[in-house]
Amino acid sequence: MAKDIGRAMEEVIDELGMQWKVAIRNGDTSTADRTKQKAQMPEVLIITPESLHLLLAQKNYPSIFSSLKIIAVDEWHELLGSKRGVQVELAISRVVNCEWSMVNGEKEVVSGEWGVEKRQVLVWGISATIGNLEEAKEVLLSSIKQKGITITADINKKIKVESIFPDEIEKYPWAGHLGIKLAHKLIPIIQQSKTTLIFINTRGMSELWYQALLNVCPELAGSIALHHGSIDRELRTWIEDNLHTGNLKAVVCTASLDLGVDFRPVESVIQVGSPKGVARFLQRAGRSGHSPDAVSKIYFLPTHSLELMEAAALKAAMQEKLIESRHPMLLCYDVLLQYLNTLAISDGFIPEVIYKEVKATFCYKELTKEEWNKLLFFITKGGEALGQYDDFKKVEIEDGVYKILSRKVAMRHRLHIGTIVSDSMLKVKFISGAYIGVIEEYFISRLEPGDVFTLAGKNLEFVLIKDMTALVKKSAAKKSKVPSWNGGRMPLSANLGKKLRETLNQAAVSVVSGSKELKALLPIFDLQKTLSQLPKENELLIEQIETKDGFHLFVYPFEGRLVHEAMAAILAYRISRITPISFSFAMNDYGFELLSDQPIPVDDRNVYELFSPSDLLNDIQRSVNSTEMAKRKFRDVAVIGGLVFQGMPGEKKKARHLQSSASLLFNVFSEYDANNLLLRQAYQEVLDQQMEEVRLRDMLERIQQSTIVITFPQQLTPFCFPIKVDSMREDLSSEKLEDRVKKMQQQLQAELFTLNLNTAE
Amino acid sequence: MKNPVPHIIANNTFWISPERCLFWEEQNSLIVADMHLGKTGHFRKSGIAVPQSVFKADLQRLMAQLYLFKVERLIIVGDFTHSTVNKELELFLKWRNDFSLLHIDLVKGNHDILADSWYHEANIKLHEWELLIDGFCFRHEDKRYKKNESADIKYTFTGHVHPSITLKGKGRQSLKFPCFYFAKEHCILPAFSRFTGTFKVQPEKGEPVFAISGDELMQVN
Repeated sequence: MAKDIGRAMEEVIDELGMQWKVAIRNGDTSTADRTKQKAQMPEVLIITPESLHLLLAQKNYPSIFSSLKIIAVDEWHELLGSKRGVQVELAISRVVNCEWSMVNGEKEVVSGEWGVEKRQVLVWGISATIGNLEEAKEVLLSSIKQKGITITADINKKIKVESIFPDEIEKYPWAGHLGIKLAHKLIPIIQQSKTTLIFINTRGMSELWYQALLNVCPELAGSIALHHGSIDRELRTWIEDNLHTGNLKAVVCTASLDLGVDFRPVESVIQVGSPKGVARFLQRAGRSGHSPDAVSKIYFLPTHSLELMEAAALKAAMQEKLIESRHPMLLCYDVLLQYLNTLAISDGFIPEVIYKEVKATFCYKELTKEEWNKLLFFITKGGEALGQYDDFKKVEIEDGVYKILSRKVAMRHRLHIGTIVSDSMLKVKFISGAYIGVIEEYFISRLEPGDVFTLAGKNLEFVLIKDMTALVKKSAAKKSKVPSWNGGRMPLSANLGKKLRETLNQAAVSVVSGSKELKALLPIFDLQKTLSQLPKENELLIEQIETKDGFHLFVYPFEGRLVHEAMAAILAYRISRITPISFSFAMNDYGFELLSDQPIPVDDRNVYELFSPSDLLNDIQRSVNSTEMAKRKFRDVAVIGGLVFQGMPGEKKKARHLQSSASLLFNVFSEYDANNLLLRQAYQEVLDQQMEEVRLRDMLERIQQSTIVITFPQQLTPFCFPIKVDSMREDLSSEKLEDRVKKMQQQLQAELFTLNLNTAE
Repeated sequence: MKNPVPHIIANNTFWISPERCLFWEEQNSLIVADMHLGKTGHFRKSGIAVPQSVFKADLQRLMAQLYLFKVERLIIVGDFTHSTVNKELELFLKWRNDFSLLHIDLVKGNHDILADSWYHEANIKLHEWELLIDGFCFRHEDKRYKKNESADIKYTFTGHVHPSITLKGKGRQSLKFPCFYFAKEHCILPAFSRFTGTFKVQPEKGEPVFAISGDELMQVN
């Protein structure tokens, strides 16, 4: 991506006949190039947030920025909601202020081109349309304390959305499907377009789709490619280059092609399955039709029948420009700790100066002096310790300047700068040597030699692991395992959820006036109506169904799987307060299910109370196993905050006495330093990101204002079926740990040990 | 159960303590494995701020067990210390003075890399491979046990592995606990230190396993 931007800039500079140099600095930049850049900064430097922080980690870094005039942040909407965005905020806060260099604790004016005068750096953000553009600007400009201006490109790009319909809607699967049955319908689209991008939601599915398209249309071989984050970078670059030149007919891809410079030859885009949000759908649509007056064309292929509703909802949302907001992250202690250490390995920092700058950022404007002092205490003293029996050494104070003096510690920190924490990955290589891609260690660890799996569209037989590399050979086997990569399961956005409820409302009121998609769904809607009901916009539908599995309660808030997961746990907890009962639950983006072996006491009299927003926070804490969730979040927090040492390249052995897992640290901190800020942050992240607490509360308040409709269908309905089939089942785990253990033990039919000292005597 | 639980092996009684150690009644000895003393200090020296109170708590727990059972002899089956010398070990030496009558045996583990002089100063008797007491054998690793089998050994106690057991419930629930694992001919003790990771063991049927949940013991196999 940096390369593409560089190329585009060079073209413009050439056309203008200027002599500017454009250079790139990121993880791939060679040491020689870095040294060259340091000696003579190019006029334009394209840099990642991580590499920018690495510049701040260099001795005498203010001189690097002495002639800086403009900081332009590209794709700010993508960075905004992430910790990389926080990195950008922090870097700006330093860079715009750093003509004040600190040498020996004294402020010394670095005289650059602009002399001693206060230099004004211009900050630009480049962003796609998002719901909170004003806030995005405020976040970016927070450090320079300016309101700024917004320039909007006057482009009203026409986007055409077309759904791909199954021939017989009744026979199209209701659930548990990848849409591959409709693969043949993509062939004419691919053939008629110069180039087509096919977006698939997960890496695993994209592998299957790639195979499926080749099966349906073998003559595509050679002109179709697969592009996702686990594929060898060189191969990906090759694919991108060939997209530019128009040599590829189609590319099956994941979010890996969401960003970056546009590929002109792309004429059509196909979205397989729910795009989960309006913004993402628009962005993908915009990948096609690049000549000035061309229409962007996107096809929507549903992976199950009801998903067709989403096409109708998306069209409506696009018309109203109902685009999602990106919420900036707040008070990320882990990123701040990392930043302070970064400053400590270059020129060191004076707390009063940096505190002011950090407070001026949007992310840390609510940071208290007490928290700041805790952070300083953490990096200088390592938190509470045993006085004279402690060896803690990280940041040391020399004449008021906070510095890291140990070269080892500094080197280790430099290797850990960044906020993207990935699973431990293994390279995948043929025994003959050719490199294929990378794969999660946990997937490989489950394979036996001889097992066949799919990566980069190839069937590979696993042979052995050697030096952090999985060696494989080609396999002719027909069956193979498809790795299920972690992550990538985005919940349905609030905006799309809202539009879906409106779309259903239309279906409930009058399908005839609705879109093609709604008309196609008529048979399914009719069945739903006959068995239960179609919820209107101001209604919440609850279905109670008894099957041989037990008593089911289905609820359809259309708020995305995360909110549903949390709500299911809370509802289960609240019901269990009425009567002792235990549940298992399941959810998807449309609704959730509680299942019990006894009738579920939910009726007109108590249902509003069960969905009440009051005492929500307490009920969350009591109902959800937030400790387990926080433990998972703590992994990233601990790595970013510098607690987990991942080892230096090629030095794995020497560092083995420093290895510990984040989950062990989580236990140790929970037990011995429960007020630790990083621990607190992990719990906060669970609330904000895992439970989407704000959205959960909004939903409950909305439900209080609406009519709750409870129906008692005689059999499973089209609405509940996908939940039943699709979703994982999680047992209610609101009981205390000991009780859970006891229950499990009964299942294991093991005897509980009853002896104790007294009885033994 | 919060209290220690007796376990009989070859007519000897070994009390299993939820504080991750065994008390051998006949010999008035406490058996521990994998204390990893100085581990927090080692991390902290490298700038990783692990709370030092884990170390302090480990020492205090050991002390409490010594008092509880009125122990005369402490047998450590390896990995007594974690790495090179640091200040936490100085605190141990000071602590050692208060227990000067306690006899300490250490069967060396892979982490015990300090100079012999340090153990001498700490008044710890070193055993390079194994310690034999009344037909019972103490070693750090099971592997070494297999290499060097002798017929008249009644039972062997080892450490090294930091064993844990996973209990699975319905759905996808699973919980992991450190455990004592009594195989037919040898026992693997849990790591004494709380600042240690674990490794899942897969016991055969009929091999007793005692899981430690908080301060309670449960027999799970």
